[in-house]
Amino acid sequence: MLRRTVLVTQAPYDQQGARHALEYSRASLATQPASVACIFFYQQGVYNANQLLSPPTDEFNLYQQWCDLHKEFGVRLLVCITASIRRGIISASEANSQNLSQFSLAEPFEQVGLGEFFTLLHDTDRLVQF
Amino acid sequence: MARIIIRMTHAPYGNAFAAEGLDFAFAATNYGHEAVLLFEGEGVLQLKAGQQPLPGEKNQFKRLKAAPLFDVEEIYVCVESRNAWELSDQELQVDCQCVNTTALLQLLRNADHVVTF
Repeated sequence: MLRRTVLVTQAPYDQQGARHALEYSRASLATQPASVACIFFYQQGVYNANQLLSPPTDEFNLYQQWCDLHKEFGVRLLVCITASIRRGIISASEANSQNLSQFSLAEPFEQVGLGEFFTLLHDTDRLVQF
Repeated sequence: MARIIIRMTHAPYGNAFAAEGLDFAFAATNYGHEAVLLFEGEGVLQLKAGQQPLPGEKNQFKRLKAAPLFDVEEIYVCVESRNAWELSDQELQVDCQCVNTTALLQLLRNADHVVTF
């Protein structure tokens, strides 16, 4: 079985790539659970992890879809901590340590270093970037 | 360990591609992978000497000069892009190898992964 890592570098709504990444991951995992080792969000892709995303109810809710994907298949949603914090995508604990009163990132998304991605990459056959 | 080609396709400053692309490359070697830089299109402008970024912005040229210190030793430049942007030898001060399209495609074929910034 080919193990893939999905790298998302595009923002939700304003760009298409993130949605494609979701659909690709879903298709892969539906066929073979565990075929996607993790989904890593970098560059503008970190905006996918913003829990405050609130599209109109008749529009596609990408944030919810990511959460559902994790719930259904257990695939890890990893967000580059440096890239996300500088863009205001920040967990409660990180916000706390920076004396920020609000936070925007929560489970199932995890804020990790790039090292986590590259460590997982050692056990991956294919890196697919959207 | 994977051989990762990192395509740099944007000019520095005015966007996050150049700086974060390099962060990505340096993290790759830090965690046991091989990172190769390939400059294409307007990305070749990252190699231009004499950059003066705004205060608070990292100097992309200086970072690229220091790339070997981060174990990023293979740097390639698309010769057509270099010519299109009229980069002279004086301006191209980073240690790199110019490649034509055939060689460029071969580089991509030989890589384990390709990431584009």
